[in-house]
Amino acid sequence: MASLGNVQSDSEEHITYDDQQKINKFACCNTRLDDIKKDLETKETELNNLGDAEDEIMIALDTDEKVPFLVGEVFVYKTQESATEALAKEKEIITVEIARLKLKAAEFESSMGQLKADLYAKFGNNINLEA
Amino acid sequence: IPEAQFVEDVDAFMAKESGGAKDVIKRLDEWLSKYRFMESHLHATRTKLKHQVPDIKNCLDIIAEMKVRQDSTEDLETRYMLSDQVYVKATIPPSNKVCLWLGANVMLEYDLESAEALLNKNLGNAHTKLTQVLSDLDYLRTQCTTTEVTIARVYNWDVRKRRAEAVNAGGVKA
Repeated sequence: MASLGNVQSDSEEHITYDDQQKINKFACCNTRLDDIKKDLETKETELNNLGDAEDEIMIALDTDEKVPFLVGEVFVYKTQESATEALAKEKEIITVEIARLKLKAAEFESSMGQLKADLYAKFGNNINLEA
Repeated sequence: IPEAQFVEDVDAFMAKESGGAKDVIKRLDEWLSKYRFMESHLHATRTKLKHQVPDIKNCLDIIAEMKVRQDSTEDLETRYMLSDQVYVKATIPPSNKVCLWLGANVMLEYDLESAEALLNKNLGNAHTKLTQVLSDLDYLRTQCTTTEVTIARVYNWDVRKRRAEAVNAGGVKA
């Protein structure tokens, strides 16, 4: 687990309720950011797989051969055009999802940056905030 | 889930609490383990819900596929999973009925529209539950962090107190 706010010894610094709120917010943002990064990784792998599948259809099959297209746990035989169409639609959905996740990650990163600056300004070496 | 108490002033807090720093730290540590236990429980729920969502989406995809084909006369050629790594050929004539597995050994037949409506409702519920679990997890994380910081501050307070006492004792002796 990433280490979050640790207040070390030898300091007479008083921690106010506001500071505690900031530390807590940093911790939450950190956890959420980790989750988003994992989701992003999965989605990007999916996108790559769909791209590979599209290429394979063009290269490997004769033009009127039907394509077994995975829907859930079942392979449905589709014509090459409807398979390519379905693949393109799925790719679009995943690309939109990836853009949304990246935006959220950027938001979390910017609020974490702000909180880091505030907390380091107040506590200096007495606090350790590593993502 | 009880809220972790934030300590404004460690001196006043320690004066109020029974037992020395060690007891207080022990009590706070117990709270911390309780919070961590609840957190791991919620993590398990979240993972389960995250798996449910793609399952429901897959069912909806199949229904969409069947809807597209229900007006055509062509049979649907498929390979479905008999077991891991084993797929079996199946030919499905166009139909407007599906059977949905409701769990508890119960399977019901629906027409495509009702099946789609039911699955969409389940998807909505799963999303709502997931949001709820995520916000609970955030809350727990906050309580954990507050407790950890309080433990650190009580420990520091104790170290400072001992040092001050040692200095005083040294001063008196000299």
